[in-house]
Amino acid sequence: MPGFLIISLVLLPLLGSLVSWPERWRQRLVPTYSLVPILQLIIVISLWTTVQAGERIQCSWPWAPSLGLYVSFSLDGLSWLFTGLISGVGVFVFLYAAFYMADDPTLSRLYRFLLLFNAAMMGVVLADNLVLLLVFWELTSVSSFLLIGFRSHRASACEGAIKAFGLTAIGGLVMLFGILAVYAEHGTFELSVLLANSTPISTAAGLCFLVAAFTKSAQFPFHIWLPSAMEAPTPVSAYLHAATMVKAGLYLIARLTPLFADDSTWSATVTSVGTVTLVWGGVLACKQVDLKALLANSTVSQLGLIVLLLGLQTEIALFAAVLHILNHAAFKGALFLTAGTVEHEAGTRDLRQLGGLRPLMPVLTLAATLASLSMAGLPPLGGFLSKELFYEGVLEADLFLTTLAVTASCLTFLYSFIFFHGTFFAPASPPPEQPHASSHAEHHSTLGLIAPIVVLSGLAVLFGLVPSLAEALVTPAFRVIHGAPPQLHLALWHGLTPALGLSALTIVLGGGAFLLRRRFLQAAREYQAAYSFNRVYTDGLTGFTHLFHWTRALYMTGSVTDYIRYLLVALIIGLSIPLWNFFEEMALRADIVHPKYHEIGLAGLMAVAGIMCCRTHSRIVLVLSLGLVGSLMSIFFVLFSAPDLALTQVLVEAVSLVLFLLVLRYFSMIRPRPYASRVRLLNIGISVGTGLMVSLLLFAANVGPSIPSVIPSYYLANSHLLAGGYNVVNVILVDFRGFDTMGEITVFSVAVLGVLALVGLGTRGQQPVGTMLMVSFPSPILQSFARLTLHLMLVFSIYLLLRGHNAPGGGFIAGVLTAVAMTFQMMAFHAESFSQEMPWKPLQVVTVGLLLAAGTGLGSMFIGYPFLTSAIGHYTFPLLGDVELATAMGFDIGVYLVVVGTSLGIIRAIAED
Amino acid sequence: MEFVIISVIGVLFGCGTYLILQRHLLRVVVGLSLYSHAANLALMVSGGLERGNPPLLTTEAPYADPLPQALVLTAIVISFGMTAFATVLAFRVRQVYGSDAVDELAGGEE
Repeated sequence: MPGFLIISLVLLPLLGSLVSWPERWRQRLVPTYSLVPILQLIIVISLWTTVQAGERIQCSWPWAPSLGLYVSFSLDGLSWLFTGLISGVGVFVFLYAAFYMADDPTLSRLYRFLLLFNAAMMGVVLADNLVLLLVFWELTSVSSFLLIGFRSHRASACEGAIKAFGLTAIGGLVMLFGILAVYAEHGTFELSVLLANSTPISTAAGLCFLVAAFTKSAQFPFHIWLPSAMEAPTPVSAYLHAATMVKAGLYLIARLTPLFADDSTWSATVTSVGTVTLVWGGVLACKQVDLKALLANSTVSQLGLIVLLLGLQTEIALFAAVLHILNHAAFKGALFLTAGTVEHEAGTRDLRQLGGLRPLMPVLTLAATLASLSMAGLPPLGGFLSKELFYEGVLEADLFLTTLAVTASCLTFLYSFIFFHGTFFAPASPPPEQPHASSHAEHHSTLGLIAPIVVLSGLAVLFGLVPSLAEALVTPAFRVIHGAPPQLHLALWHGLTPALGLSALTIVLGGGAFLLRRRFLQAAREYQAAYSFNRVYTDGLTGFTHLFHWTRALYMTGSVTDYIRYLLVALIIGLSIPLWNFFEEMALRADIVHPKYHEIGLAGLMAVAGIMCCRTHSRIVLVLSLGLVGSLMSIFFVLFSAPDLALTQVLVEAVSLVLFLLVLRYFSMIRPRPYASRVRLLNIGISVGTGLMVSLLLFAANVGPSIPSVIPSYYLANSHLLAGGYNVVNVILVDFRGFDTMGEITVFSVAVLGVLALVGLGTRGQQPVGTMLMVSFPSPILQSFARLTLHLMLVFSIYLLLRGHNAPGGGFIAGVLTAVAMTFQMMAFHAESFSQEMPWKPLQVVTVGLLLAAGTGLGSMFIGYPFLTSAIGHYTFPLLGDVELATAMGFDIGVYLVVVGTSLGIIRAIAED
Repeated sequence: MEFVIISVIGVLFGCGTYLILQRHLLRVVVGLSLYSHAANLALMVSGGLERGNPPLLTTEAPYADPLPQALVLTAIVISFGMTAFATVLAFRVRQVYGSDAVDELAGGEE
């Protein structure tokens, strides 16, 4: 049951964020989203007894166990404190937002983003598996990005969102390295296992986690994103950037503290970064004139304070840290909401224009003042308690740190006073915004915009007046970090201690600074640093952008040819090294087949034809040279025992030649603009290199140890036995590897579809036939010859098709032969009249062929054999005698039809265009 | 003989590469065709060269390796389809854009 409860803490907001009310009722139903944090708060409170007993609730589901990944959650005192903050502050922020953006149609979207964030945050503090934690960690960054950039029409909102996301994402990435390092060291991602064994983790991994925590918690020098994030709507700032998300980093540090108890690098890093942030944030906060900017910088400073305390690792310091987490959430939440209400009512957040709001908003004035005083650390408020402990903690450490602590506290005192005095008490230097701040306006908005602030600052007061309450809330968390229950007890009055003296000193110095502020504040506000961290960020960003533009411009030329060059050069270099090593060890093996003179002549001719293709500037010579290479190929096939290939090649050459001649005249002359000689040399170099590498690769393949293959002998032995065919090549095509051929003809038929689509003849016959380039001069001799040969060729092709299983021939060859016959007809007669005479359209032929081939294969499945199993039988036909027929014949006819249809389709599409 | 053929394959690959690097689309298409011829030769060589012994079981053993032949046969037909498609593509490019120079067709992104 408790396991179910902690899962529901994550799932409730996640499901809630998916809810979208229908447009009609949206405005009315939108506050129902607030139910989620209320329910969460109830769950959290119900878990109180468990947590106080020091128990730990765990639940786990396997995710990818072999990789050590589990969806595991656990809740202990530390997690509980944070779930309480997330749900508790969530309740107030959700209710406040309903009034703050009462008539805003985007409110529903804001709520859903907030719920997404809430789920992510709950996940971070509850996850037990480090990878799961990282996932939620990044999800908080994403939802924070969405919320900061919520008013996406503003450029500054987008910049702030990008800055926050960029910096926190870097942190997340670094944390991933840390997580992987932990896994490499200890073989587990489970925090509970690591903590139970209290295994020391390497400092490097620890520093990775710290980078993540520092980016998330806006520690120096990553603090710059937090003030920029103030572009978010104020409820978001109060929730994410004061109470919860920025505390995720603190949670991470606190969670890992027991593992780094003896690591001096860890504590030194944490302490020093925290100290610098504490002081620097305080300085920045004092000079702000914008209420939210002041609060943002003060948040940076306060977070630094908590980080510093976590770094000290003493009992007092750790207790002060958790206590201040609680206090800070209360008073800073209240103050952010105050800034929102003031802006809502007065129309500005600028301290130079604000002032004199006290008589107009008495309740708000009281609440905000109390919250500010708590921040300043005055008794008897909650902030005083943590400040006292803070002083005690640093007094234990050393004098230098104490000095810095007092300085920072004076700054805190100063900006706290500036905040509430400037807003409510100072005389309004320009007349206050009367139209906005009219008493009517206050009454109109009152309850919803003020009540959450009153409750939050009420808590800040309560924690001070009833120290045992605060102590009870934070003790379980402290016990988790420190490992033992606290020895100290909170009280407002500890007697005359050094810490009390420092508090008094702070008040004196801070009060003095406040009284004298006119002397220096103006100057401080006007002072513009020559170079700031924000400038580092923006300059770095633009620098990177320039760098990448520049490097991209170096190689992304926009020319496909260049990209091919890159590929080829990479190929040459990539091949040359292993080939070099190979030939150092292996000697070239002698030829197996000794060349004969006519074969050398053939090879030489082929090479010459290839070079001719490169050298020629005439389109017709180019095409004819290519044809020559193809024809020589077919002679090669004849010489080296491949009759099927020879037939196919010679027929395909004929069809391709026609195809090329058809389109030839549409191309321009080859050499309108020759390449510069430099480029030409480069091309030649790349070409020679590529050819050389391919040759060497093949040499290597041929001289290497040859593995005797059993495949050819299997085919040769079983061709007749299993498939009933004597032509092994054809048997492989239609039987042994029939499934491949099925794929081949499908691809082939796609070519005709592509061509038809390109030519725009998908709707054939509707367009008037354009240039009839083939029949400009009808020749009677050609025509009568064509009539004569058509049937001869068709009959011969059928013969080739039928005998293919046993002798050279088959579907491919017969198909191309038929296509040659048809093309010949087209050349002799009008393509148009020819297509009218043809009973079928090419695409229909292709379809029938594909269906026939597939049908033959499926047929064997119906009688219980695998796809494309062949059956053989002997039949006696009149005239032909005894014929051995295999079902593969049906498949081959399918191939035949596809080849005919595709070839004709392509030729005719071009001819008719 | 293998070395002779392998050398020719190298020459054809080199020529094909040279043509593919040219501006003129027709030459690029021819370069692709040379590539497929060279690849077919490479397949044949890898199966071992055999004179006058086609893999027809009606003749006497020995037989040439039928496997590369089956591969090459489909390769020839497929490369015809590919060449046809590339040619028509080039030809349509010429018709539509009025140019068949590769670098004149580049860009359009920025």
